[in-house]
Amino acid sequence: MNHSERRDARLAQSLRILAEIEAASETPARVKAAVMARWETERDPRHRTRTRTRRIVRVATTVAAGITFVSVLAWQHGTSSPVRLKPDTTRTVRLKPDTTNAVQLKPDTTNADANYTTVAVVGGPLMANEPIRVVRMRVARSVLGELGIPSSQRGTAQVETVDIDVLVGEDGVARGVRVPISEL
Amino acid sequence: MRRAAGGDRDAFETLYRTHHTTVYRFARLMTGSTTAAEDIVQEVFLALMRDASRYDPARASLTTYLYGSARHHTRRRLLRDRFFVRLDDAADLCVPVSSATVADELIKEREMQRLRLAIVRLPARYREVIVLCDLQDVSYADAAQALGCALGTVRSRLHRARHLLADKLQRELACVDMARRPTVRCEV
Repeated sequence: MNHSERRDARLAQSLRILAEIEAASETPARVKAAVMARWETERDPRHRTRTRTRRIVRVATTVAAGITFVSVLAWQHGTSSPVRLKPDTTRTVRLKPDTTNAVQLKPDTTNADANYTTVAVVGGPLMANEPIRVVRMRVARSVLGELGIPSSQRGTAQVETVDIDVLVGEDGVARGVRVPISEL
Repeated sequence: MRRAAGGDRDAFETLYRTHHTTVYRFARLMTGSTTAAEDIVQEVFLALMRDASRYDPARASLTTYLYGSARHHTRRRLLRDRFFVRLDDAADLCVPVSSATVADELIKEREMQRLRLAIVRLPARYREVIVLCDLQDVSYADAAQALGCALGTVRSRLHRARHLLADKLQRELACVDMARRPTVRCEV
């Protein structure tokens, strides 16, 4: 018998002895008492009613929380949804060509926005129904000139400001600028 | 079992009386703790009480089903207790001395204690097969059903588990021998 076999035989013997010792171990009586007490409690109709009520309350709470969560998400989504430009149905306003290639003149967008002129800053012309966000900014009138939009300087000593709309695409890049014609 | 599921108290009590030791010994050997084993017995029988209808006699015997349930609860318990450190491993599993010479009995008990600790320190998948097949005399087929694996897997795990266990015990014995070796003063 080599060393490994001796070792295995000894282990087998030890395991046999341990199995014999363990066979004598018994569950304490208190465990049985506890289990049977739980049996009585579980089978008690009052306990079952209480459990059912608790379960109903828990489910109702979960459903209410879910509805609230979904409503909040829908509301947030609704308030920040991008504005869709309607196809052009109005007159076209053309401005003088710009000095840079990136700036292109584009038609007006909507009936409501008929008194606006739109200048594309990046990329091609704005497509019909293209989702965009409109960010209203107040800038110095001189900025219009930098964008290639001619405007009449009004003879005031103070720096005159103009409200313009920056049109931001879904990718977060500014696609164009919209200026009220009355400001030109 | 059917009667117990229908709410028959005596039937449930008979079920408990028949199977509680099986679950208790399995849990005790798996966790190395009497307290944990008691809790696991309670949890297994409470689960049986609530979900008795889930047991399908066509799939496995009740003992195998209970082994499976005990294994599940043991794993949960061990997972929950993994951050705790036991103060005294030996005190929990003491067995009363009952035979001839006290010295022999002490040596035997110490050996058994070492073996228990070595089993508890085995990875769970190896511990399960050692406990079921070597310590509880469960057949390989029943063990495979209880563990939810193939028969060949049980055999290979058992082989590996015995090998690991023997290695652990031998290493511990070597450590004890080293500790017993007398120190010698160097002569200059």
